[in-house]
Amino acid sequence: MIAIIGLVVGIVLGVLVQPDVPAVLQPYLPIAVVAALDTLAGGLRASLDGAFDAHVFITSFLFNVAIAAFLVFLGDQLGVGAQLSTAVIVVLGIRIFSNAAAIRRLLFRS
Amino acid sequence: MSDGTRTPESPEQQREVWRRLRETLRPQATASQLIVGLLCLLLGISIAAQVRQGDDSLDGVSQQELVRLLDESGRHMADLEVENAELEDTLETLTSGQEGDEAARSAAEKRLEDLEILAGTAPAQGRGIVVSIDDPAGGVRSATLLGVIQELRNAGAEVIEIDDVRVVASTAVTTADDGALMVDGTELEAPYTVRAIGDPAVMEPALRIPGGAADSVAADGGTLAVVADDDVRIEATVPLEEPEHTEVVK
Repeated sequence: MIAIIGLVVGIVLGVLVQPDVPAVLQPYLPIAVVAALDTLAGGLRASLDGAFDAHVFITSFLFNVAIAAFLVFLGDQLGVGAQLSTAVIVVLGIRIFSNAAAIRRLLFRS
Repeated sequence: MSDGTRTPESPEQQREVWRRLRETLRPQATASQLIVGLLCLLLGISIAAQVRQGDDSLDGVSQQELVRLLDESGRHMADLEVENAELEDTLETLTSGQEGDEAARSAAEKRLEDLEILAGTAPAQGRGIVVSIDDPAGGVRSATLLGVIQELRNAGAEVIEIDDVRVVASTAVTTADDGALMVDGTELEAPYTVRAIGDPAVMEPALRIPGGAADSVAADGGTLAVVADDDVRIEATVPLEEPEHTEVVK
């Protein structure tokens, strides 16, 4: 519950304050956001499975975001930034969909 | 990805899942829940910031993308340059074509004017001379008047008029039954006035050549007076007759 409140408050804050994204972070923020959404979906599924662990969630959240950003950074350095970004987005998208599917199966049996 | 997830098989298990959902959604003021909330807060801010960032089209575009965009606009510009050059060419062609048409038209107009003056279908004006031939005795013969006309033509007269009759290529000078002079069938009355457009300095002496036109008129008992005029107006015209038997050789 606190998570949802935090999400809503964060969006409202972001719209109201309109923070400026530092130029250094700009290429990584979209990927990081998608990674975080993936982690969020994973966390919800885990809690419905009864296997939710806050510590696991926090570490995986930070790790996923960091790794996604790092992959994009690495891709930029290698000159394949656009392609690697696409790859990361595709993988994360697949994960989000499969997590959502699992949650749906848990909540609605048929 | 759904390997680890057990699909509930009985209503009890189903209820258990819903209970877990309610439990998850229930606020719990534990430290880990607070951290999760904080992370979600950060996520929300990021989403909002990113969504807003998306409005500025070129911000946050990777270097590669920028190079591609620059490339694309460069190519686009080159295409437009080529198109521009083509259009300039077309414009030039059309303009010069128009100029050519204009020149041809004015040349044709000029030629038409020349021909109209030569054929006697248009009024004319210019410097020239006015010749008055007085013939109190009525002795001036048609041949004498023709001689005056010929002399004027020799001296370069471009347009000639006798009284109110235009003298053209087909003009005839004849004598009527009563002895009066006729030009193209129009009877003349003395004194006769001959207007000629041309160089007065040439035509005047030409008429006065000893044994020439002036002397012929004097021999017929008439007098011939010449006055130079800077603006001789010849209003008489002849109708143009369509050639009946003649065609232009093509």
